[in-house]
Amino acid sequence: MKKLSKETIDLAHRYLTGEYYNRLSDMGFRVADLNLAPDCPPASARGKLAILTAEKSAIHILPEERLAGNASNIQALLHRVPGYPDEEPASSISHTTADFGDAVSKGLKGLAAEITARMANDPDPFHQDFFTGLLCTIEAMRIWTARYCVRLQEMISSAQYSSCRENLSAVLARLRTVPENPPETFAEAIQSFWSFFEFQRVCGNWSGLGRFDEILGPYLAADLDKGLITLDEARELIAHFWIKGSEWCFGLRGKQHAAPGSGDAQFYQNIILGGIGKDDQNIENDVTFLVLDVIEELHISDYPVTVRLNSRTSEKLLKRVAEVQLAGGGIVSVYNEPLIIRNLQQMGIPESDARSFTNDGCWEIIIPGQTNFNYTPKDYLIAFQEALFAEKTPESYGELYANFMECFRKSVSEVHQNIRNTPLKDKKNPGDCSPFSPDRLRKSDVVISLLMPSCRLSGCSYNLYGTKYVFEAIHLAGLVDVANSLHAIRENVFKKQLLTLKELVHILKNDWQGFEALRLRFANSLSYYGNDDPDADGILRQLLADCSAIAGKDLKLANVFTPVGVSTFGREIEYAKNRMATAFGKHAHEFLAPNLSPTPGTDKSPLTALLNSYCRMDFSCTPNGCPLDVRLCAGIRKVSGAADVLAQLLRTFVEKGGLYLQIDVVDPDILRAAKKDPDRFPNLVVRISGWSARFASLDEKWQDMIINRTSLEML
Amino acid sequence: MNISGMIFDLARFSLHDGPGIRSVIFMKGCPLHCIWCHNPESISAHPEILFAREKCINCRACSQICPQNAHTLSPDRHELNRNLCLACGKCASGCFAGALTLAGKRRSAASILEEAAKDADYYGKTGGITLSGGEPLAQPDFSAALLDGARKRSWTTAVETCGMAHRQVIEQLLPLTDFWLFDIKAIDPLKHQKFTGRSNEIILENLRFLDARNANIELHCPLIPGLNDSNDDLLAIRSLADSLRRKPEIIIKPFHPFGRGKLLQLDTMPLENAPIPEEKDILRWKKLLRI
Repeated sequence: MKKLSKETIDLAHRYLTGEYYNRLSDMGFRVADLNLAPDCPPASARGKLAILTAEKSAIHILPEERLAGNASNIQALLHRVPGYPDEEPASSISHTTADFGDAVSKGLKGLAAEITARMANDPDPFHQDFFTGLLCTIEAMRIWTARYCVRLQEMISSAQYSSCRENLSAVLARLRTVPENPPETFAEAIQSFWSFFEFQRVCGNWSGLGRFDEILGPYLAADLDKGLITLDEARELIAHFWIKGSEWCFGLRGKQHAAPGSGDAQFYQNIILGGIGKDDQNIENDVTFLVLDVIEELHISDYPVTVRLNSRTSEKLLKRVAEVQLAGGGIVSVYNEPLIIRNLQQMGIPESDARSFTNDGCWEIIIPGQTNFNYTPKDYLIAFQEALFAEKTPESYGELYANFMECFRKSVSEVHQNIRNTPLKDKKNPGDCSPFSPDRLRKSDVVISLLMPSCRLSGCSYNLYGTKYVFEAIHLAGLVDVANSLHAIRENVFKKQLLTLKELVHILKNDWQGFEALRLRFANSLSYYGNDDPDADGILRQLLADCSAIAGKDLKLANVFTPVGVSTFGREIEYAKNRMATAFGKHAHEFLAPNLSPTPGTDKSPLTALLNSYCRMDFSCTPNGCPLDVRLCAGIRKVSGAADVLAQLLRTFVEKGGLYLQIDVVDPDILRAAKKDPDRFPNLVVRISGWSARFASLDEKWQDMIINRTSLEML
Repeated sequence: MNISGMIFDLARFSLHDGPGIRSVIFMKGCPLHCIWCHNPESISAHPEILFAREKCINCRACSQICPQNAHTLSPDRHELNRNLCLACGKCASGCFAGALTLAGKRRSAASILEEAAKDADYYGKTGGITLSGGEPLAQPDFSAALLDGARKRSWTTAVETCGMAHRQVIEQLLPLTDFWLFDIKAIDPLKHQKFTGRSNEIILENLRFLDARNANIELHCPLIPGLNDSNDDLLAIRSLADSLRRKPEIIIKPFHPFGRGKLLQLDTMPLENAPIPEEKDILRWKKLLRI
């Protein structure tokens, strides 16, 4: 149902066809332009760079835009801090979510007052420098905002149409209040949110957005009570937030800047909806539903949205989520909220912090505004290959399992060692900056840190682990394929004794060549993970528990958590080249299981069977996340009451203990057509993993992987 | 519960056979022989082997396992002698290429309910089981046991039927059935006889009986262009629906050729030249049926 105005739809088209991407450029300013004294303290220097960025970055605003602020530096799109030369780039910050609610509610004025008070009580020179950097950033935002005010005033003076004048005047009036002050209306609040979010993007960072409805819902409710706004007007403002967020979509012509092949809108900017707040209150509100309206109508894939479901989630919200999911694109996924909060508490996170959880931008669970996040993925099917193809072939299933665990232990200990070797991970005091190298200090952040209450509290930058928590997540890839291999070997080699393990190893080394009938027997005589088979699922459950216990062990590093997750994120492509033939009938170098989803082609049972298999796992051992990707055939849209059916599935998924579910509705024939003729399907969106992407912006390998995965699932 | 019956499939997560999420039990054996049947393996009440020649990899496992020597393999040909085949299913269980499958297995009602219970959490208030086929009314005690078992588990129950059954079978299942998905293939008895092998007097009487008992009925109408979709055919169906007390919804089931492959796998000649409905056909059907 069309709810947005034609002007807004037209504006979305202009953004999504790359009009704004084409305006991105290197503004030419450099940190050297600041002529900083050699002894200029590092955070102060970064603060001055933020001011330079605010002064020099191009500003654009169209007469019909309802929010002001754009991120025009090409370095930002490349995950770099603008101002650093190409030969000596500084990485910006992503994979975290700042606390925008805190910033919006205090305004720049409130933040400045807090920092000034903090400075007065903390003589530590490192901290003094950091606070100076934060105050510079506040000054930078003021300068940046003032430039928009001037531009708006000029546009108002020269505007030919009264409608434009009115709109621009309203935007100007809001900018004269926010982000400087706490907002008093919904329109001011969303402008303030946009200003804080966009300025960190101007400076190259890619923060997630966090709990959009929790932050903005109360402002809208108050305005609705006073009759200051209608839901339609609020929806338009939210739509502009989405449209402007797609300014880095580069259309089909701009692939020259696409470093990865994984899509043109993948900036880790997840939004969370629903669930409970810090005081256990229900967050679901009008903003929740307006966001879903906007996604359904505009179909913009970045920001990915995750809805927190619990037993109090209303039927109305469940059905609305289902309706938007049915539209395809996989933009909206769901979390099992109580399970995640419980997992965080078991890690040692206090309940009040745990309740505020968001993610790093995809689905990895963190505490917003308080977490420095990093993760290390690794393919542990390789560890299984080491155990299986060892010089001495195991003589029993138990020996094979034990050997794998030994290889796993060795493999994951390298990850642990890397974490231990990272400087200052074992610091006792999050405000202690002394042991960092000059280069690290020089490049430490002050922009994201301004939006991190825990950094302001510790007096130390995000890069220097000033956050309350450090999450060094350990991501296990390949366990589904290890479990399927173990199941095939246990049943066919050790129980049925079709052949010896030594013989099978020889056959696998030769990629099943000359043994097609046997390969089919191994592939088709058993049910593997994803088919509601307790034996097959049981092996994966055991593996997940055993591996997580080793991988997630306490590294005795203060403030550092090592939550375990399961991910591939499309790395199936790069993993494939090192993978040999598997005992469950796959040839060498095939694309195998994504995340904790079944290996393509092995999931032969309907969706409910897959959900049952997934829900058999003990997700208390994977607190960082463990996604299940589900693709439904587009034909489901024709089913009478399809949204009710999907809502029922979502409800049951949570009740049965599933952790995270991303559902896409796709048609493999459409995907094939879109690959052949991308211009016909420029905005066809597909779920990758933790994010959605415009199919046309994926490179050929990624497109093939998605088509292959989808086609096999449709059989 | 020791009652058993012959089924050829149990499909989980079905969204097309009654409300909500359902498990559909496909019974084997049908009193009608519709020439367009899309589940031809359902017609015989006995097990049968489906043979997909194109999937055979000539591994010879079937010929080694078959106690009847019904499989003959040469390097370029695999023949199944159905005169020798007892449909014991041994060859199918040894065919990992998927060329041979057994259609038809005797299962206890208890085991079927146990399998359907795997999805019980997803049924919610609307979902449950649907008996389809084949013809569920041809195995009345087995069907009754399944419906009764479902009711005891608070699942909804649906029966998809061609309506050709003794009145006492309808009476037996009526109190156990929430939804009747009742096939109407043609109103003209001669046409019905021609395309299904049986006249439709009993079917229509049973339909009126169910309606009189206030049963919740949907009329499911398989429509095949040129065979049973004339204007008169469609108007007669509309008229039938209007004549019933509860004015049941008419659901059209456009012909599709998916049964053709299975007929070939049963070594049976499929319906020749059956046209696949086009959009204009469906629009005309909907107009005349007023749906």
